Amino acid sequence: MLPAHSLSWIILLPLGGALAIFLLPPARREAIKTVALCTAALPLAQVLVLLVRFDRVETTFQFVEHYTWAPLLGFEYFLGVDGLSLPLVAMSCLVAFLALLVAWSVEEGVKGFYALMLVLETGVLGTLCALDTALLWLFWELVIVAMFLLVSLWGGEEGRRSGRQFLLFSQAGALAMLLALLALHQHVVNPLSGGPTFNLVLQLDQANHDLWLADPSVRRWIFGGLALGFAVVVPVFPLHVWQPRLHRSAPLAIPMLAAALVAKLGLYGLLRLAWPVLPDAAAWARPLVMTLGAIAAVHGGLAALGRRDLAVILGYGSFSLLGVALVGVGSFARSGLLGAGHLLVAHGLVYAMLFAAAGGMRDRLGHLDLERWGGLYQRAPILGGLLTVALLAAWGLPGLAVFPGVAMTLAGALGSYPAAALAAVAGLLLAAGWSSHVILKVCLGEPAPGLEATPPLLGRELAVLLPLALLLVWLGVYPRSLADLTGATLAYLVRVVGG
Amino acid sequence: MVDVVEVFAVPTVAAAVWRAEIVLAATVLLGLLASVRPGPWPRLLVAAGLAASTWLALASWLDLGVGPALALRPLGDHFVVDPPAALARVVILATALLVVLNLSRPDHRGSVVLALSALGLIWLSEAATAGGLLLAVAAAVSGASLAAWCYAAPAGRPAVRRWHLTATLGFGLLACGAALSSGLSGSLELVGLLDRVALRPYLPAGALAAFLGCGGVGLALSLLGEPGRFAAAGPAGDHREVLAPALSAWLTAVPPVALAALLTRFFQTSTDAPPAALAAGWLTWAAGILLLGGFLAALVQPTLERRLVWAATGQVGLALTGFLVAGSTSGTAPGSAPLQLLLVFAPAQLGALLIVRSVESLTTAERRRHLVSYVFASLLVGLAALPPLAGWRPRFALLQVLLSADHYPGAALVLVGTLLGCWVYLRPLVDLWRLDGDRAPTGDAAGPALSWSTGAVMTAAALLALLLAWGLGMSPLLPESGLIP
Repeated sequence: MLPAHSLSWIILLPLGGALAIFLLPPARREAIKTVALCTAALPLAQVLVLLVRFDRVETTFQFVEHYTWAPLLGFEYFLGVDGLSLPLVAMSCLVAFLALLVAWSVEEGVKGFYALMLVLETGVLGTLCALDTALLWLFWELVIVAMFLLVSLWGGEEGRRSGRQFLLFSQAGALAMLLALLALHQHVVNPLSGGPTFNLVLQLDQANHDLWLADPSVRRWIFGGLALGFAVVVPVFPLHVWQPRLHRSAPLAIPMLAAALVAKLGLYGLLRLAWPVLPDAAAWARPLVMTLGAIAAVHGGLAALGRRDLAVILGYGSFSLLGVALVGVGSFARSGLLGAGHLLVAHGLVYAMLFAAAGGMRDRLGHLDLERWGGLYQRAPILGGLLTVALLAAWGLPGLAVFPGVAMTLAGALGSYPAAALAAVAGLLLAAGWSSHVILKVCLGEPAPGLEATPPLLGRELAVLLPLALLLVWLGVYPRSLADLTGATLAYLVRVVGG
Repeated sequence: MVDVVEVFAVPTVAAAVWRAEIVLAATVLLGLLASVRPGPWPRLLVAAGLAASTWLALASWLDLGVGPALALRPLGDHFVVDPPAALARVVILATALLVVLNLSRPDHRGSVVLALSALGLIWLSEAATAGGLLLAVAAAVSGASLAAWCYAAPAGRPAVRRWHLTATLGFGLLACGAALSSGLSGSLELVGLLDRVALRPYLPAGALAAFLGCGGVGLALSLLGEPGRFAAAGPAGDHREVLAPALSAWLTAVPPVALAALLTRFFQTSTDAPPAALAAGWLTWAAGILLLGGFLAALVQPTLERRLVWAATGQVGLALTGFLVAGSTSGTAPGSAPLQLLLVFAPAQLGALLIVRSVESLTTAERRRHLVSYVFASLLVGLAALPPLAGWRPRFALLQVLLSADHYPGAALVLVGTLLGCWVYLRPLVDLWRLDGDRAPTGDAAGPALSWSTGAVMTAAALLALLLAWGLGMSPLLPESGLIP
């Protein structure tokens, strides 16, 4: 039986865990880690139940919770999921749980680190489930603050600079988004109360938009504000400069969350809010979106080719694949949007696995310099094999999770913007280049000095990497399992945006 | 036979509104008498008086909030107690009580003049005429100035003297501006002054601008002064010995609350009138300068305390943007958003300043262990107007009001201010908890051991809990406060 307030439990359990950690003494590191792991496991179990109970034919929101919060300000506590958000919620719960395992080796500031990881999870899950735009913004701010503190405090000197840039960019974006949300709020009417509303479902219905919103230039300004807010966290070129520094020195659980969870929120926001509420403005901005996606795909691939640090390479690789997903989002075609929806999940799983494997490597030798690595197949064949699977998936090898998403994205984009589709292909070819370079340097050759003294594979590494590898294979071989979930919602989205 | 009850009988509601101030005035007089001999009695007396008047003010605010907003005039025509003033009075008295309880220095007479300052600020929030305004500012400034003198270390005396001179100059300007503006409008009444001037188109165009500007600058100088000086370094470079931080909180957080309540009344006008447009133009500039100047100055300050003190000026600038559309009927009562913003800011600023020196005295390792650093960090998040603490609600309301009135320059100012505020308040968080500890002294170099007082931390924690409850739940300001019609 499904417990009442399922979504609230999923969102608030990690926050409860963070508060419980706050009460524990800092010296009890094992207890802190155990509490964090347990409170992250519960939402994961709960979301599995939701996945089973989810009606895949229905296009409306399910498991809805709707309460009045502050009627005078127009706020509602309104939660729900559909085919677009539920897979991302499930993926976020899984990756957040696994990230806690990856972070097990963190010994400095354990209490704050684990508490902030859980706060970040709450922020991400809340953003994905919120159906009131004010509530969405509040969770969005929670993500920004938690991410800023994680990056700044555990990222070393480079992380501090990266954190400052992230805060400036994301806060500027969030404020632009807030302005756009307030403008929308003022001019969308709640038919029941007759007053303005933040209710996303009512905002999606164009019939509730007043005359002011009929002005195309107004709609474009509002769209611009929303898009800017979402673009910073993806990140979209040229707003990605905060990202590479983060990867060099932060514990790899942070980039894992940044790539798999936070980056998704940007694309999700575009699909959930900006596209369907303002479809004409989205159509107007489409060339720019496609261009930025194409630039990211190529620029990320080229930048990854020229780097020696595996974490930085993975950061640029993630940036490149998200560029491909952005091309799918901008295609407005059914196959393109289905591909983008698939890529959102596949990208999260692939890069979570890659960063987790890289974390294991850094734990062994203390660095990720490709020139000083080698012989992983000899010393840790299972870890090497799993890393290879993830690297092959990252450039879209058929049979692994990324391929169906890429194929559908390209099919959607080729018809309308062939140049962007070609750029996406170039990005994937470059990914093949840097992936094979990494395999060559890390897995083959003689074992690096010091590698012999390290364990071949830890139990928690296997616990993290194996489920992710199985999911990559499953989604690659049977992509329909995900398409069934997202199909109805994305088809509705295509109808709304007129693709 | 004379019936004593009949002699002192006053209308019930007016008496209810008045009694908090009667108790406070009596407290000041008794405190002055008790100050003749050294000892803790003046402070105890003031604390008790402030507690009683806070309770009475709270009761009359709750009375006023029920039903339509009443504008009572218990002290004749010069002062009016409307819902914003009643609410501001509660905050002023409660803050004064917390400040008096947290003043650590032995000069107990300072608490008496602090109570006088509180009375002046209450009058300021209630002032309805130019005469009332001048009386209120005189009481507020002289009380605050004397309190600062009492609690300033020798190194801080020159700073207090400079502030006193600035405030006197400001008071003179305010008097000139108020007198000349009243002369133009033909009445001492502040409410509707702009509308009355609009009825006299034959007056010189620049006169009102000059007079209002004169008064506005004077008011700002006398109340806000140059706050950075209170945390300035002394000759030995020891900034900690200049002024009690609780008093810094009083001087930076409370006058803006009273000022906001006053401006709420002053801007009850039709925005279509040319003088109102003129005043709005002045306000935009003033808001921009205060906002940018305050936050940018805060960014370059070397200590947390100075940063908080300067950022208060930025918060005042942010609040002023709410008055740009005060006359419009945009869903919220005139000026309610800025007043709400300052009502949230005051406890957060007080809490942060009460424990700022404790935080600065902790070494890096200790910072991560102690409750004090968590409380301080949470208060900083609240000051940055980030959820879940209450700061985000008034900021949200401010933007709503500006956007609904299509005032985009004001909205842009709020966005810039919020961004700068985030930067100012969140950056210390990283310094507070940085893991390498390369800037924090350790061992013998760390200086004296922990200097935090349990009372200050408990007060700050209670304020934090209040802000958290306010941020997550329904705002106590709405709608019973009368700020939202």
